[in-house]
Amino acid sequence: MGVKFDFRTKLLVIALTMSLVAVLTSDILIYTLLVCLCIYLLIQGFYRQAIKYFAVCCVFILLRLFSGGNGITFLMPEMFLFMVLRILMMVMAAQPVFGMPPGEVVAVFKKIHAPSGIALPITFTLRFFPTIRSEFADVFSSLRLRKLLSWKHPLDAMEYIVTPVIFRSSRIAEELAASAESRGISNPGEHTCRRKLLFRKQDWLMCVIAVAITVMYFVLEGMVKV
Amino acid sequence: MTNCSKEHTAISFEKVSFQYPGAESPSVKDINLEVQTGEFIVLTGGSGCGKTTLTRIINGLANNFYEGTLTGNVSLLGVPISDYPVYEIGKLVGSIFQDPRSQFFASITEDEIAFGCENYGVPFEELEMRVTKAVKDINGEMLLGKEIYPMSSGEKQKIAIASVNAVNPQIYVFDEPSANLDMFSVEALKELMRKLKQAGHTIVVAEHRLYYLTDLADRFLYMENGRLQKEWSAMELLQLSELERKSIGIRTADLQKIETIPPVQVKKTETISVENLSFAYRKNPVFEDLSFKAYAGDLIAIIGHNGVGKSTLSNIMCGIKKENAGNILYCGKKVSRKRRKDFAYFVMQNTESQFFGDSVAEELRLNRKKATDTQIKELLTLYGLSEWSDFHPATLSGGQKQRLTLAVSDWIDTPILILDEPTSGLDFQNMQRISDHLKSLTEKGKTILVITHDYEFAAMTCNRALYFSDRNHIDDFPIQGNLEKLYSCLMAH
Amino acid sequence: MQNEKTQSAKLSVKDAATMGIFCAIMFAVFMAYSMLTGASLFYSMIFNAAGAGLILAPFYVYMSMKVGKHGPALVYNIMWAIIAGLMMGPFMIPWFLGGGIIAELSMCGKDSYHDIKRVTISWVITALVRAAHGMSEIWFFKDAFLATGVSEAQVQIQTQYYTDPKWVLLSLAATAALAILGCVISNKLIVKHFRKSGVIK
Repeated sequence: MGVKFDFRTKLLVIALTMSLVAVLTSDILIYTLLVCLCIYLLIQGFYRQAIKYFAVCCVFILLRLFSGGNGITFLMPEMFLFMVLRILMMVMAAQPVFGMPPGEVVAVFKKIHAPSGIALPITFTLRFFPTIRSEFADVFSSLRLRKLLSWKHPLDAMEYIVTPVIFRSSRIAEELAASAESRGISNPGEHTCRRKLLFRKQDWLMCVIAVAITVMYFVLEGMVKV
Repeated sequence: MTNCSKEHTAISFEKVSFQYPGAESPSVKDINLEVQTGEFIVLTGGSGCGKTTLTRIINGLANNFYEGTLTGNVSLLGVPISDYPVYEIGKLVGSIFQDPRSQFFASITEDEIAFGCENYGVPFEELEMRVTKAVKDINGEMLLGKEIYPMSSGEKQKIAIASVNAVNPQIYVFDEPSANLDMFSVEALKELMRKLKQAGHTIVVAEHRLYYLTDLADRFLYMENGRLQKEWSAMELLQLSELERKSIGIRTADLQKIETIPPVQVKKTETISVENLSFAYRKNPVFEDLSFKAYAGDLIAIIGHNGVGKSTLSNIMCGIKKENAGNILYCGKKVSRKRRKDFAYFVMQNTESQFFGDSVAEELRLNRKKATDTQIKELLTLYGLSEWSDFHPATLSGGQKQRLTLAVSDWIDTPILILDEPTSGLDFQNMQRISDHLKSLTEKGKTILVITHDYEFAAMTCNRALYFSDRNHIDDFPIQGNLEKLYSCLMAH
Repeated sequence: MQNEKTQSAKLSVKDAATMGIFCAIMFAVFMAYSMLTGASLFYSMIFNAAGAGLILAPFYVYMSMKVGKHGPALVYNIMWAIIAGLMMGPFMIPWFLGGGIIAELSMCGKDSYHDIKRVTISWVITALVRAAHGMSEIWFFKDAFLATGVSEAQVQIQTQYYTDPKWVLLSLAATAALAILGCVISNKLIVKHFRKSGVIK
């Protein structure tokens, strides 16, 4: 399962990664930072994701080496390769937040007293996200079986895809809301949470390590520049 | 409400009518009903009779969520329902809805079970206790710590019940809880209901399938056009003759009474031959080395527990998915994946994902641009949809939607038709209609495969069963004379 | 007991569910679309937001009209602010938040969420905010990129699209045009399907 960190720790890592990504220029430093992020993901148990991101990074690093700083044709200039690597690093740092169970996200919202006008929709977004693929897949299969999918008429295709997805999603929204309403989601009183948000020893440790690494990179970056 | 038996009346309706916003007439009319504390009642009747609306009045959603107009007096535990704010009703009335897939929030079992309690501010120490107890009550220890999304409908529903259970309301309301369940899960549901009843809870169930409720329910209330029309005890319901039951239009209360169809003359033309088919999902084998044959005129029930690959097989047979190994022969010829859809049409379970037109007539026209109005009218009349010709498909009832998918499949006219759970959530009349249509299609020489958990439907419709007992074995048997075997296969887990 | 409910101005749980679920769909569709078209940097830089303005419009228009009261434009942009903030840096948050506030302000007045023209205006604002955020991304990275030792000329070629007002204008104009086209199509769908079936009033 891996180590569990408090959301504040995760946010700190994101913030530190962002500041580093904006500043680092040396290739070696960037590549080693990638490795650090992979380890960060691995200790939290995101094995598949860590391997996936690492593989993508390797491909882009190889592309950069192969192109020798000139980019690959008009389609993939150096700037693009460079940007993808950086965005990937941020995604890696943000992954543990994306992977947070909705229960914990709700708890975080409660902890920071987020307004329900925004916290509630986000709860539904997180709940619905994993099912979107299958909703679209059903519509596509049905269109294919009825031989209605033709790119010659893009507007018809758009209508055929969009309409059933909207009908279904709207119904799911209603059913989910009914289920939530019947279990007291709009209770104005205090809500509790079975997940305790605790800043534990491993959080302190992780924060110290993260800050130390960041400082080290800043120093190294300064040395490389000189 | 001034009533001397106040503390014994859990639910009381006095001249209650309810109309949804935008509806032309009330969905329930002039209902008078008293339910005692600890009583177990079942509301039944055809689709659109108002039983679901009645459950929504009890759990307060009719008024507060669907924003309709309620007249008359409704009281819960002696207090007028209008005295409760909407979020308070959830503490008194727990609701379990029809589709288990769209009533969970959290991704992990424990979080979901705690959801209601968290909303009501149950303190941390007590939360753990309540969750543990609720898990124990559903025998759900093996579900702990697991993700809910990939679970079967039966497991999801267990969790939904546990989540309500943790809040511990006095009254439980179930809206067609068995519609999406296999028979094994229905049995588990029945046991949970029994426990709730024994604990003294008041239970109201709106349901088409009645067989599993006969030894639990105190009263069966039959509704028609929004009114309460008849009332039976379980004994009286079981004593209805088959003729009476069918004329009222309710599903059987006793599975023993179901009769099979007379033997049909299946032609010797081989239409399907599946040879050594294998499929794996991300290296996890779903099935291996499957083989079977089917002939023109066969109407085959495909049965087996969840995850055994029934839907996957259907997807492969119509070319949506690709097999890992094996052959599929249609009418004696090997057919490549791309061309399979010319031979086999698949009616999926989500009827909503299969409609694209802006009217019922247009839906048919999409697949046959040159069809004349008379042709369309003829086909719609055959499926009892001609009155609805100009309506938007999304406004149809579940049974009508199912019939429209069949009408579309007639238009596409493939020799093989595959259906996934066509009777889930259908009342007796709609089920009978689907059953008759399918039989008439096989008489014209089609081969039909139906994935189903519905014993009543399978027994009165199909001539053969293919039972997926495990991933590399199919048990192929005629249904005639094998009803007990059919039953035990459907109950297997 | 008479319970005639008038639609309240406050967002209900049902509205939250509608907004949450449609934002999820829009985000998923946007991701899929960006991955499909991402292979071409030229397209990504100039026309990504324009295409998104077209294909996401039906979901946005439906969400707005289904909810039918104030909130959707702001909530949608706040969600984007959070996602963009997590993925691209915190400086994106005020950018989208500001855009969201402007989009929501454009909807001031009663019943504006049932008016396709007003919804279109808020969608065009939202789309333009997205179009311009792509540019700020390049501007942000430019210094770091230069510092890696790539020649100024190389950077010039690659950022020409975003530093040349012609390209910038083309991108913004295309975005506005396609966002409007998207809303016109969406309105047709609304009338043809959703109003006819009674899902939307």
